[in-house]
Amino acid sequence: MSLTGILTVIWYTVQPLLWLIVLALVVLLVAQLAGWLKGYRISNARQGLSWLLAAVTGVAALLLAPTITGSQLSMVVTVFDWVALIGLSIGVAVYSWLVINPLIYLTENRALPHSQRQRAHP
Amino acid sequence: MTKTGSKAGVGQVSRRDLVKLGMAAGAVAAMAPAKGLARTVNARGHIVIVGAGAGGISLANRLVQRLPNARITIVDGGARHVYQPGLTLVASGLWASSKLNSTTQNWLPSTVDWKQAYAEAFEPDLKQVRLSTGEVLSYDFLVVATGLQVNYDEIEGFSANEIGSNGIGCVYDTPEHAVKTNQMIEQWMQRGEGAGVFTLAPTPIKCAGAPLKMCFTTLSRLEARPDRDRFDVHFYVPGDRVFGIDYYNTFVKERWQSQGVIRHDFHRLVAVDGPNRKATFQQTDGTLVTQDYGFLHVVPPMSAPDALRDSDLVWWEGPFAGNWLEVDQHTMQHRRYPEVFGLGDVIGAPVNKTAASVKMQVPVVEENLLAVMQGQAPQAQHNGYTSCPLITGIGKAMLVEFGYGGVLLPSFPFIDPKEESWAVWIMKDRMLQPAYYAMLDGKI
Repeated sequence: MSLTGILTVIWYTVQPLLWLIVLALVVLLVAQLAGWLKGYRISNARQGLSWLLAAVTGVAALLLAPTITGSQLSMVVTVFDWVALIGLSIGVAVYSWLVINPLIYLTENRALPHSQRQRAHP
Repeated sequence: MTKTGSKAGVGQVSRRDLVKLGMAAGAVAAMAPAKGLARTVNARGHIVIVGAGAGGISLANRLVQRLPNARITIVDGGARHVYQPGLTLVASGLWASSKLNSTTQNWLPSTVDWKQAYAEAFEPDLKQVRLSTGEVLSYDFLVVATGLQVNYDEIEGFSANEIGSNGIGCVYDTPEHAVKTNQMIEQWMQRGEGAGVFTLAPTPIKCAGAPLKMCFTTLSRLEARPDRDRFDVHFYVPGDRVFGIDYYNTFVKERWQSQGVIRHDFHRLVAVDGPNRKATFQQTDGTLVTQDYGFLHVVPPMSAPDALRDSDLVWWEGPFAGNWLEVDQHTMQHRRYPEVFGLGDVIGAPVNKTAASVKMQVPVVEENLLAVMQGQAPQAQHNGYTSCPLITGIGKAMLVEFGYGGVLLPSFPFIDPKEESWAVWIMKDRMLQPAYYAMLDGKI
């Protein structure tokens, strides 16, 4: 199949899911924007908890994706199966991290007195 | 300390980033599918496409892009379009039947004249088709894409009305009957015992993997129960093969053996006694064998529609004689009537009766029809490509792709056609229907 053919099929496949993709993007943008407006930058947020939660969601995606698709983890057997599943879980983890990281910053920043907020995360 | 100055900070968008973004968007746009890239042809004539199934609709959508000056008429009495590759998933309780339905009108280009009728007679010497409405339609070029006819009446005591009663199922009818087939399987399993009997037809059939898939998905459902041993599963085969390709034939037979399926070679289903739940099979020596069943999956004999079988367009000799449309299996052009082409289930060719076959045949018919309309010889060649995502259990499948001569023709180098795969299951479950609809739209 040609590249344009593959892209066409992908486009037809994602069309019914466009609302979900838009929703996910809105959630991502809102989280990032809310953080940025309060002084969040990737370099000044605490990373540990974000990475932990992102890893948990990534692993959950890896374990649950076969079941959600009407299959079982035991049926993930070929190299391509594993590449697809691991790629999916990495994508979920990265997305989660991008959403969680600014939210954690906001949560921690709100807990501090106003005078310490900008200085708390130099 | 917060970074300040002319350099963009992390997360801020610089002018360089914008330029990169623009370049990336341009690259994606260049790769994106574009309509109307194919060369238009200034040929004239009246093209009649008989059949608004996958082949007819897809071809119509492609031809309107290529032939701005031609008149195109499509003939089909069906207002509903069914995504047939999903029937096995409905009959296995995995999809809702509503997922299969759309309207014929929805897929047809507005510039095509749709005659909502069926072809009752083909008269190729007069270049005309008689319709069920009484109208006689003349053509300059004809494309026969009627699909096939399921001959229920060749099995004594059986008709389409029997599907969904007395434990009888069939995956080759309507979505409603696919739902009822699932109900019959569920009722049989709820009884807690008995024989599930699966069959194959003695003729070429559409989606030849469907009867195997039904057996495999039913086995998955049985194996999920604690009382699997209380059920027998039989598979009756008219010959000694369950699949045309040696590797898959052996694979399926060995897998079924390990799953406790009892196979009966050289048995053809000839009669069904629904009220008494008995199926009768005829062996090659004429001996009749009766099998009690709790669930029976019937695969009736199939042929081209009677209107075509009764016409001069049918094969006169060879293995498809009297039953299927005569075409050159490579050019899809009729061997005796050069202005006639065929595609899809109706043609008599060694390998063809799947939506994947149609996907590959349509561009060949398009190119060769346009060539003939311009007085040229047809050049495009169909290699017999067909595909069957062979479900070997609920949640896994093999991407079987092959062509004439049984040559494997894998589309993706990273998918092993001989391995069961979750990713292939995803393709079957989530991606083939969008691909099918892209094909109907003439986009792929």
